[in-house]
Amino acid sequence: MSAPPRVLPYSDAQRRVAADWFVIIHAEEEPNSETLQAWLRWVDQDEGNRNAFEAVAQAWHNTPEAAVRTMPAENELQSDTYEGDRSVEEWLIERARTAKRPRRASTRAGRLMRKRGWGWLAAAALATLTVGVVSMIRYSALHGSQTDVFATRNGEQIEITLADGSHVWLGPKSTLQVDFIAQRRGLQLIRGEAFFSVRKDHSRPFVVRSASGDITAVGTAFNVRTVSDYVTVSVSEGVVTVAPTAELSAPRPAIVRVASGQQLSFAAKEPAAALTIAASKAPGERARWREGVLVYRDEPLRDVVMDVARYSDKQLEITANAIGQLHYTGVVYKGAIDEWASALPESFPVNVVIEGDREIISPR
Amino acid sequence: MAPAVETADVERLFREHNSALLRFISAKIGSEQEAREIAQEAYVHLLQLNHPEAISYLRAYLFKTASNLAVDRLRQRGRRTHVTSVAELDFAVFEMSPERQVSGEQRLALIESAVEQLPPKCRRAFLLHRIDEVSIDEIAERMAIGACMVRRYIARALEHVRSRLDVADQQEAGHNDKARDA
Repeated sequence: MSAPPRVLPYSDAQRRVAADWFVIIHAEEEPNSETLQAWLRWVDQDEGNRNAFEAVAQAWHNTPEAAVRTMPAENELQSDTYEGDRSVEEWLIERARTAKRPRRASTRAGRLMRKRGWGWLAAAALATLTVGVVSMIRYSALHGSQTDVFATRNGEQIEITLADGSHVWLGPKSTLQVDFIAQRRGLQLIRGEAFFSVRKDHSRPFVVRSASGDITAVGTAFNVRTVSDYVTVSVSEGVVTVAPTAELSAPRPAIVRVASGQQLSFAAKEPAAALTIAASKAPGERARWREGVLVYRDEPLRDVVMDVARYSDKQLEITANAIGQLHYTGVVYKGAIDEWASALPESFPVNVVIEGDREIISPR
Repeated sequence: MAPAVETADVERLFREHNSALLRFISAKIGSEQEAREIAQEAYVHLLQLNHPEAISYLRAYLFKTASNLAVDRLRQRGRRTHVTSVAELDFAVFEMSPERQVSGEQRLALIESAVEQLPPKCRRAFLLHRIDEVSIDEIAERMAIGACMVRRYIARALEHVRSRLDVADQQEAGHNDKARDA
């Protein structure tokens, strides 16, 4: 029996130090005795250190050459102030924070420039302003590209206006990557949940890549939630098509059409035949997370807990899979998660114990 | 002729440091199989050593020999073969347990997107070192920053790539737990 989510065989701090050590050891052509001794001492000190070192070595050697196409441009480098004193993850979160500042800027152009915070764009905007005719929106549409990453912390949510005028509401503990090119509006929901309100543009499909497949929309509004690789798409307007990541052995990928008022849940590796589209009893209820109302209908308690946890500053844990399998239907309010958790024993055979910042749900 | 290094000393050294040595070589060349071969070669080198005073610093010598052998081998590979397709990914080397792993394609995509997210200078240092195999000192010169900062950038980049893989592996493990119980 294991308690999800499974723990890594090393801590974040160990991974960080392992990366520092790896760079030294890997680049060392003439290893000097003190460096080696210090490294060996560190490796032998703790099994986690050893695991972390091997894990970062693996990441290093598996980084594909294809990554080379992303070499940054000169002006990007000039406006970069990152000095490696915090993790890249923290830097990304900080950047997302700056991006969601209240829109007090007097011009559209100014607002968009701040949102993106990229040197090349600032330069482009400057050029545009000198000409004084083309607005930033049009510039983006002409240029057609946008690359950005937005990330939120627990309990935090942001609203994003994309270069094409589409809107995204990004839920807590969620990461969204935006990759717009001239022919395609590509996005990747790396984790968490997002609601998309898509500007119509038949020539440029709007494709959200999720943990278990691609969701394509033209002009529509829909919500995507991921819990592990279990993805739920709820459509409140228009139509989307979903192409779940196919097993390699599958003859051809299935494409499923999900219309307004419908909902589809899928996971990679599940046979396509098992996909069932459900009519949601109350279309749009899923998207109410934006107001802090989390609605669940007949879902495994484990998924519900993992989803609610994104809104909580406590770490919610289920200690036994059996109780994770129990089904839950109900509403959770963002401001009352502790109360919700402490009321769980009334409807389920569980005990809830708070230990520091952990809230542990175990069988009674 | 000076007596060679005692075989017993070398053997003891190998027993004591075998796993650390393998880890050290693997870190350099990314293949456990080749790391074993190199360790063997280093062993033979040490046995042929004609400097008895070497015993006092035998361990450092062992790692240095191994390091040189690894560098030689990398050069022999000529233009180093890079991972260009999923099939070439050598996941087995450090695999912790099969169910932890997300699929090869997903992994490649994850690594690529993690690299794309890096802050510009950090990304540049990482790509120069990892893909173009430029030395730390030369990167420092090209970017007009200190070698320390270059190391830090590369380490933060590597940490980020690893942490993105970890998030995915954990999610995968969670899914497998669920699948098993179903």
